[in-house]
Amino acid sequence: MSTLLPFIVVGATTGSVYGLAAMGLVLSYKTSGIFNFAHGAIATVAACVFYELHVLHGWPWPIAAVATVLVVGPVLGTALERLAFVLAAASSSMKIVATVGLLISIQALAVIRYGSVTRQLAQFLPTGAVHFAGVNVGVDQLIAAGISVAALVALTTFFRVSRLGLAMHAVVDDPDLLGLTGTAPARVRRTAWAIGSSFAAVSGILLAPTFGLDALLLTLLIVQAFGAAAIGGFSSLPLTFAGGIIVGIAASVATKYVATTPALGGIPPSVPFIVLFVVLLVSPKGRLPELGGQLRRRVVERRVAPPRQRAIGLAVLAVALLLVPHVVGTRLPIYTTGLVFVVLFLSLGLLVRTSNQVSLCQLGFAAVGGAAFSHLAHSVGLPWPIALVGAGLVTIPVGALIALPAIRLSGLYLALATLGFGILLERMAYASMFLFGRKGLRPAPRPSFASGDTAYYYVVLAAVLCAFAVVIAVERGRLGQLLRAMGDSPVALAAHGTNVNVTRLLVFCISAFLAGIGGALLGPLSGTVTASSFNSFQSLILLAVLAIMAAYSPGPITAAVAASASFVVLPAYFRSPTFSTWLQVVFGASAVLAAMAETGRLGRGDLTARLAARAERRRAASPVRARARAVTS
Amino acid sequence: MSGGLRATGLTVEFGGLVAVHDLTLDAPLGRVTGLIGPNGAGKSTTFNACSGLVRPTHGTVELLGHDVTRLAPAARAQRGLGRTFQRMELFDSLSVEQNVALGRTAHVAGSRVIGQLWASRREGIEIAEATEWALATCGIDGLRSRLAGGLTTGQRRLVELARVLAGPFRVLLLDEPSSGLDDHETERFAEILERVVTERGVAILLVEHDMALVHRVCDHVFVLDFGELIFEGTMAEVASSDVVRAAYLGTVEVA
Repeated sequence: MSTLLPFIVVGATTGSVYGLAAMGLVLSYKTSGIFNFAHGAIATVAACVFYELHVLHGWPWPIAAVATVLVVGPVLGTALERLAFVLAAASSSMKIVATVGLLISIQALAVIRYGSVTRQLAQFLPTGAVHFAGVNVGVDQLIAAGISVAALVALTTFFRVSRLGLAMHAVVDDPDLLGLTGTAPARVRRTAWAIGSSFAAVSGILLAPTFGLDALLLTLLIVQAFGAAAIGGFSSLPLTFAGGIIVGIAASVATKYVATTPALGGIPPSVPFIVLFVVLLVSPKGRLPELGGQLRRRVVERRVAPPRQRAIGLAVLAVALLLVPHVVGTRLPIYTTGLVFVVLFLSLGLLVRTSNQVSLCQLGFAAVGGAAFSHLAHSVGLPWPIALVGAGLVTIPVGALIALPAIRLSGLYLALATLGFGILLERMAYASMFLFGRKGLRPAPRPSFASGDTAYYYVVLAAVLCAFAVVIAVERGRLGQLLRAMGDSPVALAAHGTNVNVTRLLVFCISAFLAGIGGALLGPLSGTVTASSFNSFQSLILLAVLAIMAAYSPGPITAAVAASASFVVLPAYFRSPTFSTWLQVVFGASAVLAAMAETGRLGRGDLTARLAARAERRRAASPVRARARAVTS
Repeated sequence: MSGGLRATGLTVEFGGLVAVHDLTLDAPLGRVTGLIGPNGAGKSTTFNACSGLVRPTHGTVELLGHDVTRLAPAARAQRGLGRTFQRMELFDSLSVEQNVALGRTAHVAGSRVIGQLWASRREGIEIAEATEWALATCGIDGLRSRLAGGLTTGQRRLVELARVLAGPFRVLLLDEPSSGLDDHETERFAEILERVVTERGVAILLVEHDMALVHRVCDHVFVLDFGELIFEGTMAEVASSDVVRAAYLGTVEVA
């Protein structure tokens, strides 16, 4: 026990910061029904602002910290509250897409400002150690824990004493009360978001010396926070705080045991994800409800072109793709990569576009497919096409395994499970022998009949056409019908006899299969399949890009082709190294806008609505004006 | 009486709140049974417990003589239980025809695992026939290619009814089907219910606020208040009951 104590103390202090962030997350989620995937990004923004003030401008750290929290918390909180209000009428997948879009925009902006190498921030809190309960504890850790506890106490007092706090507490316990508290709901929401963002900001500043200004690592704060919030059952704030401490201690204690077994080195940072999965697995359905589903969605009529027009469009597309190798010259590999990503986007589109679900680990599935292909084609020596299909088949049980615990809950938890899985896979499994091994790469041969670049392009094109056929068959067939119905009302579909969990699982498996094929096609392009091609954060960007294109495309194929063209092909035509990072900012922002546009509630910001209203006023006014002219003349 | 739907000793609690307490009711085949009571009396909760959306704390639900208390909603539907929703749950982005067809498709697809992926020719014919029958019976043939999301409340009620009628259900739970309908639509609605009961011999359990409609179509009525059964009997008995009048009808004009 005495040897464990230091780990427990360290874990508890870090965990209290997670707990702080988690309380902020729960507060905003419960009052608005929008689960903020960009919660960790707020922490990033705060860490960056603090860095600017403290390091670059030399402000003393207490002043810089207070200024940062007082500005970042309320400003971002207010902006996010407005966003959440508009998003309340969005579909569940677009709600997720919107905050994911925000996250990737902020991450890209941080990269533009500070470069892709993580800037370190020296510990600004007083260092040194005090002897406490037989352990040496860093003063900085004690201060961090003290600040977190103080925030918890302040919040609890606010809930007890102030009328607004009381109303907020009631809403956190039962969101349905928001309209009944006698306090203006908008004020409750705004304050909740401001507090939530301030808590995220504080945790961002406190964690910055540990993680550096690494937007990605801070982004993962969301997962730590989720683990904590889930332990607290998404309702009790003190329990949420305690959950944060539990997650922190578990991660810290794991480091002790893992230190003796290097092979398990990936475990400690993965503890939050493991907590996440366990919570998803064991929680009864009622304990993790999805909020904010009450509003009826605005119905958007899908613009479906007549069959002949669609057939012609498809034929034109096929001819254009056939001609590509003769037109693009040395850029051919880019186009081949683009085709591979068409498959990946198709796989994602089946979820996002057709069935209103979200996957945040599509590249994780692609990684499984890519590695499996290498095993089958190179190590086992199966014929190339069989290895390709085999790679897709191997991915199916992996997809089913991820989806099973979350699918019975709801779309939000599926998104969280996939986010957790994508990161977990990358950290723990990419380096294993099953996937890419220590070196992070494996041989991936081209088919013997198509070793040239042009020939391989046509092989990939053939695979893409097969993927088109699969997607069209699904969309046109019975599953497509059930998926569209499920997207509108899963309850009604179940009430008429279809087990919607099976429906969700089926489409998730088909999607994983296609993603696995996509991953398998990627490796042979360069001859090796590398772990770094399947960066888990890129999965989030894929989602944002696809969501934008799906919102403005007539069909699944157009959406996938457009998404791939803008994500893969477009950046290749711009030399500037920052172009793709700026593009990521644009993708993120566009995803937010697309989600807002879906609701039809863009309000004052919506240019087209404003123009239409003005034209309407003109029309109404013109007879009067005409008469007025007639009178004066 | 066997068959139909039977709930015995049904109790549903949400946290400390008892929404339904020790309710026993029976909706036999070939009849329309009413379930009435003021707002918040627990009618929709009873429906949700019968269809599997909430799990009762105590009590059992029997469907066509089988205990279905532990079955999920889809499994109950497979055994013959269909329902509509107070807040209509239509497939808003699909056409009326697709909505109605899905009432049958969902049942056929859910009957076996492969059913969600593969549609046989025979099933296609079965679905098309059921759809046409339901569209014609509810008189919404003319709306078939309209989007469900763009219809009026009255039309949406009829679409939801047609959808559940397209399924091969033996017991129908209809949750306030006439709210939002005008007199003409309500009249036609009553005709549809009577026709379905005589032609198909189904059991209908009807939650309804329109007392004229209840009076016209229901053979037997259960009255709930604060989650408790306070009265049961024919509509005439209900209308003359002092208990019911005190709890409910005192504030409503009886037609």
